[in-house]
Amino acid sequence: MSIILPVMIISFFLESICSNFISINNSLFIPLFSIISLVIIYPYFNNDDFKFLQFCGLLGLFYDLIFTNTFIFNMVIFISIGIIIKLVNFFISNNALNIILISSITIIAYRIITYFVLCIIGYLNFNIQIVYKSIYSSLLLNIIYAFLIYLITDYFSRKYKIQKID
Amino acid sequence: MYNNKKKLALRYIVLIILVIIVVFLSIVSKVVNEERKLTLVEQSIKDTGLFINKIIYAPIKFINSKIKEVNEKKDLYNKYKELEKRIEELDLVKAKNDELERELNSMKKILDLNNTLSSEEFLNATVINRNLGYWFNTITIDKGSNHGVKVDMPVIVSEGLVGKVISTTAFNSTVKLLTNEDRSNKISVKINIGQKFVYGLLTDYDQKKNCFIIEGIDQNVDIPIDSVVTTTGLGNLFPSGILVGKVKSIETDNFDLAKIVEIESDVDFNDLSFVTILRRKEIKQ
Repeated sequence: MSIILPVMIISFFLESICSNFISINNSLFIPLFSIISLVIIYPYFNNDDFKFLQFCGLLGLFYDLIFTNTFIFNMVIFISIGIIIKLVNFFISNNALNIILISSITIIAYRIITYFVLCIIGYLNFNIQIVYKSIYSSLLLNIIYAFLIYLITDYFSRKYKIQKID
Repeated sequence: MYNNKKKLALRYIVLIILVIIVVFLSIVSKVVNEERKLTLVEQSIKDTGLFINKIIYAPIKFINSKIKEVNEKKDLYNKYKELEKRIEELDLVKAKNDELERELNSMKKILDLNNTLSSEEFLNATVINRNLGYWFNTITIDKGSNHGVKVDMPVIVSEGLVGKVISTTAFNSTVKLLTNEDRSNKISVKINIGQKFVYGLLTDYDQKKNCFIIEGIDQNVDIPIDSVVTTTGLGNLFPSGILVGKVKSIETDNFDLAKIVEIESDVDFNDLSFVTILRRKEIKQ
């Protein structure tokens, strides 16, 4: 918990603050730090998947209520992303380089799932180029963030001997 | 026997998953497509979350404003000279403005008009966060129902219309930007051609070309490029006369029956830090 909660809370508010310095549409640096925090905290749950998914749902619910004015939407999507993170971690070990790969897969999955849900309910018109744009505009900044936050949390987990799966 | 049981269980699981997906999609559809009022619990959580966010953001905002201040100071002398010139013209403009306002009021009384810009008062607000849902094209501002903000109030900046308020809490509001892809977001606008007006509907935003689309304009009307486009005040949502943009190009539709006009807005939707909410003046009896 000493790593999980700070990472989640810092990422959650940092995403909101960063959005004020980044242009709304035409940017390569769109923050998705809350999603990235799920990738970082997964190993610290030590295979307690139900608890991990609970945290995903809770973060999604707060994201819904505080930032996007929606209800349940991000909660369900964050839980789905949690399941994807769990599956990816099953095949890939957890290290600084693999974090880049896991973060990329997570961002792509998040963008595609959200876009398809919004298309199905008729909120957006289907246009594959917009999905590409949303993905490549989110990758760079979030991968850098994931890499840095992994190094920081890894350092603290070694220093204070906090257990995690590798 | 064992296989049959397994198949049956699998069918139930698939059925349950399908039901969950359908329920989820229906709830999301209702939440996203309909502009609903936030419940008291939602409002409190949102206000608390954004208050913490504001506290964390305050020192960063302070440093950012100081950096901007230092940059602006470099150009201070030229700005001072420019403002000095303007002050000389100010008295003249003020007198003219008073006269025009008097004329406008008397004309409004005669025509019984009550949906113009002059019947609105301005409430300035700071943007707290920008488009966090990415697809929703919304911003959150630091003024809410306690400051008199209500749903559907228009939001502008000095360069023109930005969007409208879609939900409020006690201390914050969410503004849906005009660049939103939502197709139900149509606005009645007029193109000023000399002394005449051509009316149309602002229906869409083209992300690639970075311009708005006006449809429903007669094929036989000539529209000059750079004509000013403003709101009409019809529909009672936006008051008349708010600048939307200027005509960038004109095309005909696929059937050669109507014109499609592309408008370029001067508003930088990517960089909104401060906005103004138009609030209807309360008439003193």
